Amino acid sequence: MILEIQSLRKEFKGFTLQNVSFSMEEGCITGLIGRNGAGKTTIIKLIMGLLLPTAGTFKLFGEENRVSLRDRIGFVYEENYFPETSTLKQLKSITKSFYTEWDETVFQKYARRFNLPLEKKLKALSSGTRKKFSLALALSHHAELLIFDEPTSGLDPVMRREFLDILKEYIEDGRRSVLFSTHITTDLEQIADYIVFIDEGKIITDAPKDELLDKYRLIKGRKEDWTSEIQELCCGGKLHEFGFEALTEHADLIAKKIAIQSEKASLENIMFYLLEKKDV
Amino acid sequence: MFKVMKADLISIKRSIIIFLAYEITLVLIWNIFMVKDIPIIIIFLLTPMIPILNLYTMEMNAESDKILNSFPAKRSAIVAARYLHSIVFLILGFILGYVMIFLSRTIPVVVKPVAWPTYYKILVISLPELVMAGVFLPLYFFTGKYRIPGLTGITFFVIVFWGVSKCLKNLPDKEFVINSIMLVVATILFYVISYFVSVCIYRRRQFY
Repeated sequence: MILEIQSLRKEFKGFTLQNVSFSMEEGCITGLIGRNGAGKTTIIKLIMGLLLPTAGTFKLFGEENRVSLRDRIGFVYEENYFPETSTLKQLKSITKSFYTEWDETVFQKYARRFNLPLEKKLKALSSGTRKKFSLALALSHHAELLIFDEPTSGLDPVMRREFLDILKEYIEDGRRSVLFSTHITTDLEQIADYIVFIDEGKIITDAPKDELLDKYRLIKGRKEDWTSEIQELCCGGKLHEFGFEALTEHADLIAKKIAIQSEKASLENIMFYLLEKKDV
Repeated sequence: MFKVMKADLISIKRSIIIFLAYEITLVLIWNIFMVKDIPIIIIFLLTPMIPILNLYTMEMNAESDKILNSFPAKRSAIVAARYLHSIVFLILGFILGYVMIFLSRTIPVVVKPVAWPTYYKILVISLPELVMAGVFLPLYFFTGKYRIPGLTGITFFVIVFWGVSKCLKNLPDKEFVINSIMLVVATILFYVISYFVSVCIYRRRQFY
């Protein structure tokens, strides 16, 4: 296992991350999804050592967590924490000095691929270019685990697609893994192997993506068929002017009772309806 | 530790420029415009502002501590880098201060050179700067803020500066040397203890 989290707990005023446990194998991409304030960034900060857990443990690369293991982790945060007045070249130089496996050739390759203006100061760059720069840094020291917090926010669709392709290439050797949190669930549908769905500090679902997508169906039916019996068989649903739309694990059973249109549910639908049910 | 220092120096280069500009301006005022009545104490009161300015700038610079703590860098090394920084800046301040005194008293006026003991006394009474940094840094690491720790540090500086000046005034050379050595040892000891306190505090610090 590349990452094993056991009963991780973190208490804040007004929010508690509650006994989070999940693990990641080598060669897989794990997506961390959930709404704002669900606890995704808290998990990432705990792994990176920026926050100290109230309880629980985690292992990295099969060893007890310690600072030197961060040499094998590449990270990209949602916000920029680099000094704004420094040039990309200076920031690269800082980052390079911390990693034993830094590969200048790889960095230059990504700098060219992302068109990074290395002589420019960070403050002169758009949020997308800053994100690309962070990605280039994270990918340039042969990290075995990449931890990304909202890596694709701020990227244009072309760059987002390119980024996802890079991640696929990166894990091809079967030894590296990626953990990333995102709101853009379509990204995960393309590349993720596992999904960890979190809300209000608790894990709602932790399953392989395909298993999750196969488990749920999105059904549509007539308004008058949205009875309490059907509602009980659904994980959540909405009544519209001309009918209903709902998420269910029992599409076949419902189809025997009423006329429905059934289709594969997207991660976004699953997230939306499960949260809706939870809120009710 | 040196990696952290390098990272910090790049982050705080603006404050280094301010520091150098300040020192050079004083040299110019003293020498070119021949304004000699600026009390020398100003140099020693203002140079300790530099470590505070550094950390202030770092704090303003997009919370660079979050990045440093995400790198494979031990927290004790990050603290050590800040302590070493303060010393480097203080030494730099002393050197520039001495150059300024030397230039202002010898070259323009061509008077007899200042006796070495004068420089030595200046060095000893400048030790409160280390005390100030030793007070400021743990408070800064504890609160994550710079204003109150900065003001506390400056208050300590003024008190210790005044005390040390009184203590060493008009002493015979022998007593002066003994007292000075004791003060240097006490200050270094204080600074080292302050470092360990800061490490304990910083290890518990969280970056939300």
